Amino acid sequence: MESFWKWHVIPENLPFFAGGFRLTLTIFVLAWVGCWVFAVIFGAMRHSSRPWLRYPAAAVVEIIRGTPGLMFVVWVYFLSQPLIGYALSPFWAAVWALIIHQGAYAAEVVRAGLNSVPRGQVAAGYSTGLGYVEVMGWIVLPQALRNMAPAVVNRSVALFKNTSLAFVIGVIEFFRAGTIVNGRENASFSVFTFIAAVYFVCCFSLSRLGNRLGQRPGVIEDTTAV
Amino acid sequence: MRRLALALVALVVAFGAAADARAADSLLDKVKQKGEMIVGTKYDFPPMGSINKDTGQPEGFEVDLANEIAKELGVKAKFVQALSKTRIPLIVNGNVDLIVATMTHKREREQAIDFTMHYMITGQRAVTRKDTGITHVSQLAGKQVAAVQGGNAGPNLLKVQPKAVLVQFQEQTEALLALKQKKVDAVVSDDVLNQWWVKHNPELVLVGKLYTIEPYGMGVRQNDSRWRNAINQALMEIWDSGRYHEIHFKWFGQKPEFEIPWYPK
Amino acid sequence: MADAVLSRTAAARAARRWQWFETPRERRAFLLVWGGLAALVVWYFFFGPRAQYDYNWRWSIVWQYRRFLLWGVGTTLYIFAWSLVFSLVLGIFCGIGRTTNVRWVRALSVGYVEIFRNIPLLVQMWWAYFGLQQVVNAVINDPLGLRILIPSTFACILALSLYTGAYMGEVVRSGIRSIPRGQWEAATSTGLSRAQTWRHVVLPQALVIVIPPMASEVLNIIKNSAIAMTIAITDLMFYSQKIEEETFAGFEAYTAGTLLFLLLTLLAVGAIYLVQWLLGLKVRSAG
Repeated sequence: MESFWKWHVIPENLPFFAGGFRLTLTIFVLAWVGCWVFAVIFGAMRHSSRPWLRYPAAAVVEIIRGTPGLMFVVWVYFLSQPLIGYALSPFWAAVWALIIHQGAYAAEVVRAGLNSVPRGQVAAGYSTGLGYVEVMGWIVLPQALRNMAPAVVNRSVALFKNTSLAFVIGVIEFFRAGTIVNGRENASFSVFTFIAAVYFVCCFSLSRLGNRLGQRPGVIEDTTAV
Repeated sequence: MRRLALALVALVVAFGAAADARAADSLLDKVKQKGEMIVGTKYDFPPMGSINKDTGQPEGFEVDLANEIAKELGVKAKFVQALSKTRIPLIVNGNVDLIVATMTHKREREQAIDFTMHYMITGQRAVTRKDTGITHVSQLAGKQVAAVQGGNAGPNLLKVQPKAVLVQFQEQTEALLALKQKKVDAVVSDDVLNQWWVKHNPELVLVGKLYTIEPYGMGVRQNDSRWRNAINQALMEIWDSGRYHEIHFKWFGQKPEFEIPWYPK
Repeated sequence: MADAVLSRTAAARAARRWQWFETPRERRAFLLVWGGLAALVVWYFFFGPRAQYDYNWRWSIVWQYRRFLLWGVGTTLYIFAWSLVFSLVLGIFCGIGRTTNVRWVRALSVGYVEIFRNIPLLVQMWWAYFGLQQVVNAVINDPLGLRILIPSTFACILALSLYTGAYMGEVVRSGIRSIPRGQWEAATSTGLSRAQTWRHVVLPQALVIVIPPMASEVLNIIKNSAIAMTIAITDLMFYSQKIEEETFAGFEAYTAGTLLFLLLTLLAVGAIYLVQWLLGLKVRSAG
């Protein structure tokens, strides 16, 4: 009888798993930075009172949000050459795909955060003679950022989970490292339970932090499953 | 307002300047200039291309062959994974310069890419577990057979046994796993891989004889004769100097049973 | 004074509402930014470095291979339907479980939500397909000589339902918590038992409140089902890639796939609007 309790596979291949995890972390950090830059730009555009900024941004964000993440990763990898004339490596294609796809969801978080500040305060700020920059910097942003914080953490957890999608285009990140080891050793139960446990530990600690930040009134909810 | 306009104009001019620098020339010049050639190989296909357990780097017959070609051209080879279904788009889109990924030279594939000379000839066959009792392809009617998406094996099996049910995976390792877990009754693949699997997994057995011939060619970009000639000539040098035989002996334990076409300078 | 009265008329209000630009400066800014961007894109694609890349567009491929796309849509809809049913059930029970007073039920629900929200769906699907099969093989098949197989659609629906059910549980929980405590107390004071309160007072209101966020979870099922392609399910994503394999027309194949996914999400949104309308509710858009 073939045993499924092959836990010895994990310590034997630990360096390989560690390499994959390092790559996952790199993709995560790069995509996190780009994603929130994208989110701030498009979130601010959607929040703006000028319709010629609002509607194009809304169209872009809604279209990107309606596409599956996996399809986006494949899109960016294979169609970077016809589209922008430059062929991306699998690593960078994954990073850019995550930036754009998760950025669209993050843009919604930014918009909700900006919306959560009552318009009355903005009007009051203008009426006391403050300019646009002061109103944004002293009145809107501090409150918006505090309200957004748990949703930001939520989105970051989702981004971390979505780095596993990079495996379809050949990036040897943590999940792919697991499938390679599994292919060699035929220890599906142990390998996948181990991978699930590692992801769980990382994401759970992150979301615990988000829970701690979320125990305040006025905080926006963000529980989308992508 | 004026500053914004000036910034936009500057951007357009910069774009234009960068554009002129990229005329359409041969990959050979670009590779030599960069000093490195991007090669797509399989990572799931021992002994042709797989990942080394300890170093995490690709290794295999095709990896060694690609490294030798790179040495002939005076550059370094950088490896990228090529799945059966991604290898042609990778070349067409320019993500890689050369594909050495157990790709059969098929006439319909010539619409999209160009092929170099054949560097190996093998065939396709089914592999099964000893306990299924399947000894001939005709017994695969109505059974679940695993193949890799994008490769030749699935369609070729359907030509000899139209009643088989294909289950298509992304990589060979998953197909093998499904076979071992009894989800499928057979896996069809190229014989170089079949022999490796049977050698390393005593519960597997080959089914019958080869039912196709698969000549492997390396894939290069369409209409780039200088690049293709360079690869062909490098291959001839490798054959001529005996390095091909060394690599073949290292990975297959025997001399090659075919010859790479060779012509003089 | 007269202006104030006049400005209240509908015509004046209509005239004021659709003003795109408040000042001429704004109009200039708009033309410069978007016009400049459009000009840049047009120049890049037709005159600049991209122009030399001759890609012959073959949009007729999409019509030729419509059968593949239809099969893909069918499989995706099948997975979607089953996952929707199971995840709704799971979500509602989980939401109730999280707000109940029974300690162990609450702990179980919290555990379920935390585990399945913090593991990527991809890992869950592969675990359900390969990992579970290995356990079944070792524990049931080999000793008893059976051959119970876990089909890939079953694994996919299992993973999707568990994953989405966790998120839906959270949504339902927030809906239940938004019902004022006064209603609970009023229900108890009129003699309703706990179960009756749940059934007649709390749940009807909570489920109606959460329809908009639930709608976005439903859409997420469709999008997440694309991952099923990696465990050998022939869904829409798989067939888009298959078309690309056979015709080498990558752009057209993936655009067709993407548009079909968007179409499916639009259909789902329409169905949710229909449900809201049939229930006599005010139709609200998804969150």
